[in-house]
Amino acid sequence: MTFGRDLLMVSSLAAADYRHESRLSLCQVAALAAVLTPLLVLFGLRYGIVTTLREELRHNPTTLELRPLVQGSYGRSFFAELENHTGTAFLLPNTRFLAATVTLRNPAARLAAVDSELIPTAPGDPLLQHTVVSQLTTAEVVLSQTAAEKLRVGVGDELEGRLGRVVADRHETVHFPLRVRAVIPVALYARDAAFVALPLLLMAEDYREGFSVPDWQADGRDRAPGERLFAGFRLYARSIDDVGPLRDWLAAREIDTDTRLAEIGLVQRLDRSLTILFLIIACLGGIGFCLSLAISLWGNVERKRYELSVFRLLGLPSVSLAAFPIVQAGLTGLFGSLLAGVCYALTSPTINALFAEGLSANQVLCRLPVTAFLWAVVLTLVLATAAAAAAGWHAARFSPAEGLRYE
Amino acid sequence: MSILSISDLRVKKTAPSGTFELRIDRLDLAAGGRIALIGPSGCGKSTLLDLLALLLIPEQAGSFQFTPPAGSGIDLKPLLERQDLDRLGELRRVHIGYVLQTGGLLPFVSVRRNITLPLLLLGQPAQAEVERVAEALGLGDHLDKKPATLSAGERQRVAIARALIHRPALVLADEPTAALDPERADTVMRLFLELTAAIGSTLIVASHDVERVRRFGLQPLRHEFLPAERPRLTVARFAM
Repeated sequence: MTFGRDLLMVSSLAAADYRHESRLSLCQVAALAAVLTPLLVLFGLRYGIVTTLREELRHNPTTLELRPLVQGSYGRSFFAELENHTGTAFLLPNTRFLAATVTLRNPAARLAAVDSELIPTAPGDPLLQHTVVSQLTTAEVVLSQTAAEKLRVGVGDELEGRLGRVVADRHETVHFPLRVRAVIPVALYARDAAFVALPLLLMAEDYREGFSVPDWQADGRDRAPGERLFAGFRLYARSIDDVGPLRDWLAAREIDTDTRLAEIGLVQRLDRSLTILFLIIACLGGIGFCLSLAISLWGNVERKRYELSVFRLLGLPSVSLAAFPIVQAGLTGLFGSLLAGVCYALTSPTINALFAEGLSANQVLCRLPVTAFLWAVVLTLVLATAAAAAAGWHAARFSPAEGLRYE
Repeated sequence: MSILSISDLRVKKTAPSGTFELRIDRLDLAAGGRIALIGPSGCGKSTLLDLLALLLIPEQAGSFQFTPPAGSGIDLKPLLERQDLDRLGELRRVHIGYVLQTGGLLPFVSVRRNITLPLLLLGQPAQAEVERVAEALGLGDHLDKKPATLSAGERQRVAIARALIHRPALVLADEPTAALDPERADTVMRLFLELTAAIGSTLIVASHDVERVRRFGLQPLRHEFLPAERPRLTVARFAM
């Protein structure tokens, strides 16, 4: 009870003295902000640069893709296991490379036909996520921008698909209608491609391999009953951090894949390097800040020797006496970090404006999350209090009789 | 009954000019007494006051007993030996009021807050008592001012108010009228004596003004310089 009362009284006296010597307090706040602002800007740059690069990679689905380099025979259990991997975001069986082409023609124009890749798709496909949300029918297609431009078609237009095969030395061709459901930008897929529902791709594979395809009235052998095996798959990781583990999972099953791990690794190394660099500078800045604050508080305590001795004269115990510089350091820490926050808020738009040319509309180079700023405030208060504890300890050891003759 | 009983006590103070030693062979201060420490500068008046205020740790103390009114004796010797500043501070907080020569006011809070501090530290209500004591000392109009805006005499009266506000058993004053002109000094001294008498405190005043002390009827404490045992050593002794 007495301790709490003493502490409350010393805190209010410390605040009153802090206000009374407002110019000196302001200098201490400004000195702290001068150390803290560059650290906030530095952290903002580290966070902004790494976030921008990571976002750039994350928003480019090809970064998340793992492409099998060789064809294999993958059954239901393989897909189930891979689907359950925590890093898997999108998985779809794929056919052999040979079966995965189609010739497209625009029946409404006298243009050359376009040979396109035939790629299976389904809802959730990272390449199509912004354009198609529901399942395609076997009469629908999503075209890559290059294919659409060559065929001069847009969304809703009709196309004709054509596949050929040789059965018993006899050339056969099948034509089937397709309606363009969407066109995806060249940034997402740069080659001529037709994204279709998996059943259509399987029909194409069956046709190419000489099997009968009733939907196209194409005769041929009947496919043997049993589990259908796939030569490949389309696989996308959940995040850039999942690409490595997924690659390792596949490599453990002797499936080599093509990935953008090198670029991802570069960003991750940059992240690590910038973090280390930031920590080094923050540590040096923090040590400098602690020292300067401790020295300044020590000097302040020497200056306040008379007043602190008066506290002693009135009967305040050592702990309460030590609280005096600690409370003042806490105030400096709080106001200093808030001022640094204001300085950061004024500085970062200028930095972002300077580098705006190289960035897209929603990207910024210098960005400080609110939580990071709040952590900076907490850390500053902890460091300031720790530095002040030394001055407080010094204050508690004053001889009151000497201090009272000090004025 | 003695409020303070001291025997065989020695305090040393070292300065560049030499060492000063204060000796007390035996000192018994009666409760309610009015004592004056008279002597020239450097004779150890302030040192003795600091000692009685439990602010100074002696090198040696045969015995050091404090007996508050309506309480049993407290042996301070163990506290002084282990330099327990916090426990000594607790006793000072409750039982002692000290008027410093320099006032000892906190410049960053109002007169009201300065006077209130001892009561706040004891967790006692302050408002009415502060106004009563301030009125008695002619400070009623200055309660919300900062000490820097007051005259020397007014500041000294604020210091007296702060020393008396919690009705301590022992009031110590170090040259309380030294900075005042004779007329104001008499006024302040008269008020001081009236107020301490009203609360029944034992009063010890250090002063170099023998005439004023005698005029106000304070009992002087005998002081003498002893022959130095070695060069650059001054030895002084106070006795009843």
